[in-house]
Amino acid sequence: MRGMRQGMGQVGQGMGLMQPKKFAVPLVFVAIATIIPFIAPSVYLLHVLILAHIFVIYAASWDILTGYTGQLNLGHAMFFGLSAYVVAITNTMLKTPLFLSVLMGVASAFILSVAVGLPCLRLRGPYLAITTFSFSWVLFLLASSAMIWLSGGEEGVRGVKTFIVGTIPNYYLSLVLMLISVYILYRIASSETGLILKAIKEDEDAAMACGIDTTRYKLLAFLMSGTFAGIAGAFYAQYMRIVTVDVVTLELSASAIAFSLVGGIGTIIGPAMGAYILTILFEGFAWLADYRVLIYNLIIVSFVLFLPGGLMSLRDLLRRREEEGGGVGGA
Amino acid sequence: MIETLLNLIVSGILIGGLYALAALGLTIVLGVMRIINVSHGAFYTLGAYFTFLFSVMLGMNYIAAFLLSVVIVFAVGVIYERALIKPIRKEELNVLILTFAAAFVIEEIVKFTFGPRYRNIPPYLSGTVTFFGGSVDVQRVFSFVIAIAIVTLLILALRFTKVGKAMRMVAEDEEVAGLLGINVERIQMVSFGFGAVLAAAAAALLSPIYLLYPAMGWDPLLKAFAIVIFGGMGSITGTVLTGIIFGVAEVLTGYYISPTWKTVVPFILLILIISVKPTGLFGEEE
Repeated sequence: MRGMRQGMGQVGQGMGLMQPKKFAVPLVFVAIATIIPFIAPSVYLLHVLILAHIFVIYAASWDILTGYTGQLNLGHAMFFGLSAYVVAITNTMLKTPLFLSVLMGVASAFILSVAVGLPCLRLRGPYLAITTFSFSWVLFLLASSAMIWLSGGEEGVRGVKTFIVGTIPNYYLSLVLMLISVYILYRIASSETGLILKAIKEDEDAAMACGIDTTRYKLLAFLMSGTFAGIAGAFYAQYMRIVTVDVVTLELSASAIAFSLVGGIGTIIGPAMGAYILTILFEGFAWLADYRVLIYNLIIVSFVLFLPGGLMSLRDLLRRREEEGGGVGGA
Repeated sequence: MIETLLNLIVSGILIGGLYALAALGLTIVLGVMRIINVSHGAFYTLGAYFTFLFSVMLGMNYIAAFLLSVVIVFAVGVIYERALIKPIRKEELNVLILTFAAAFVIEEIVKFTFGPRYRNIPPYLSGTVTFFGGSVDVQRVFSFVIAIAIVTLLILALRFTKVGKAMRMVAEDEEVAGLLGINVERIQMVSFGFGAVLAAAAAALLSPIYLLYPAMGWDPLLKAFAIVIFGGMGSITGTVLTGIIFGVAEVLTGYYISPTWKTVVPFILLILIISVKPTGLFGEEE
C-alpha cells in the first residue's frame, strides 16, 4: 500500500517524462483486472464490474466536456440513452445486424451532440446547462410516455442481440473497450488540445484573445463527450439485451456528476475511479439500491461544498504534506 | 367549434397564470443573485406536500394550510441559501451542480416521508362558471385570481417597498448597492426565500387540480426555465406573458394533438428559440 502511494507520487512528479514508473499504476490495474475472472469467478461480481466499465466510459466522457472545458452538461444521459435505444430498436424491430445497429447508435449520439452543441455553445452563461437539461427531459418524456409504442416504456425493448454470449467474454470486451476509451480521452486531455480546453474553462475571453477559436474547441469537446457516452450506451444495450426508460432518466445524468465529483472533475482518471467505486458499492450491496439516488446526490452536495477537487485532490494534498514534512512520508 | 377553442384558451390562460407565478420565482433569484436555481422545482414539490400535510393529513382549513406551507418553504429557502448557496455563489458551475443535486435530495426526502405513490388534494371549491358559452371550474378560476393577485403584489412591492427597492438595486449593481449601505447578503437571502415561496405558492394553488408525487417538481422547473428564456431573462412582464402563452399552447396541444405530447411541446419551442433568438421573445439584444 505504501509502496503504491509512493509510486503514484512519482507519477505526478515525472509528468511528461518517459519514466517506467509512470505506467506502474495502470499496469497493476490491468494485471488485476485481467486475472479477476480466474481468482473470483463470480458471475455477479463480473456483472457489476462490466457495469462499472460502462459507467467509467460514461463518466470520463462527461468529464471531457464539463470537467475540462467548463461547459455544464446536466443531461448527459441523453447521449447514453439515445444510443442504447437506437441500438435496441434498429436491432430488434428493423432486424439490422448488431454491428450496424451499434454504428447507428453511436452515430445518433454524435448527431445529437451536433444538434445540441451548435446552437448553444456560441452562447455564454447557463444556456448549455438549461438546453442539455431540456433535451434530456424531452427524450425522457418521449421514452416514458409520448412514444411508448417505440420505446416500450417501463417494459423496454427486449431481445437485443449480443456480440458475445457469456459474462466472462463480455467482461473482457468491456475491459478492453473501457481501457481504449479512457486512454484516448486521457491522451486528448493531456495533449495541447486538453490545455486549450482548460484555458477555455479558466477564462474564455483570455483564450479568445490568444487567437483560439473557442467555439470550435468547445464543439469538439462536446462531440467527443457525446460520442463516447454513445459508445457506452451502445455497449450497454448489447450487453443487457434490454433497454428501458432507465437509460434516459435525470438520475442517470446526475450519476455522471456524482462519479466525476467523487474522483475529481477535470482529470479523466478521477471520474473513472469514481464510477468504479460508486458502481461497485451500489451494485454490490443490493440493499443500498433504494438509497442510491439520495446518497449519490448527497455526495454531490458534500463534495461541491467540502472537497470540490474530489479524491484526486486529496492525493495532491497528501503529496504536498509529505513534501513539506521533508519527505518523511507516511512513516 | 369556436366555443371549444375559446374554452380551451380560457383554461390555458388559467393554468398559464400559475406557470408564470412559478417562473417568476426563478426570474427573481436570477435577477438578484445571478444564479440559476435548479432546486426551484423542489420548492414547488415542498409547497404541494406541505399543503397536503396540513390540509388533508392534519385536516386544517385550506387557507391556513396554504399560508403555513408558504411560510415554512420561505424558511427552508432561507436556510438553503445560507447553508448551500452562500459559500459558493460566485462559482456558476458549482451552483448549478449543487442545486441540481439538492433537488434530488429534497425529492428523495419527500419520497421517504410521504411515500412514492400519487396523492391528491380534493378541490375545496366546487361548481363551474360559464365563460363565452363554455364552462370552467370555479377552483381553477380561484387559483388563477390568487396567482395574479400575488404577481401584482410582487410588482408593487418591488416598486414601492424598501426591501423591493433594495432588491432592484442589488439586481442592478451589487457593488454600488453595497456602497449605498444595502446589506447585499441579507437581500440575496430574502430574495432566495421569496423565489422559493413563489414556487411553493404556485404548487399550493395547483395542488387541488393536479396530482402530487415526489418527482412532480421537474416538469414545472423545466417549464419555468423555458418561460424565463422565452420571456427574456429577468423581465417580469415577459415572464408573465410567456407563462400564459405556454399555458394556452399546452392546453391546445393536449386537445388537438394528443395529451401525451402536450408536455413535450414547450421544450421543442424552447430549443427552437435558443437556436434562433437566445435572448428570448421579450429580451433585449445585448
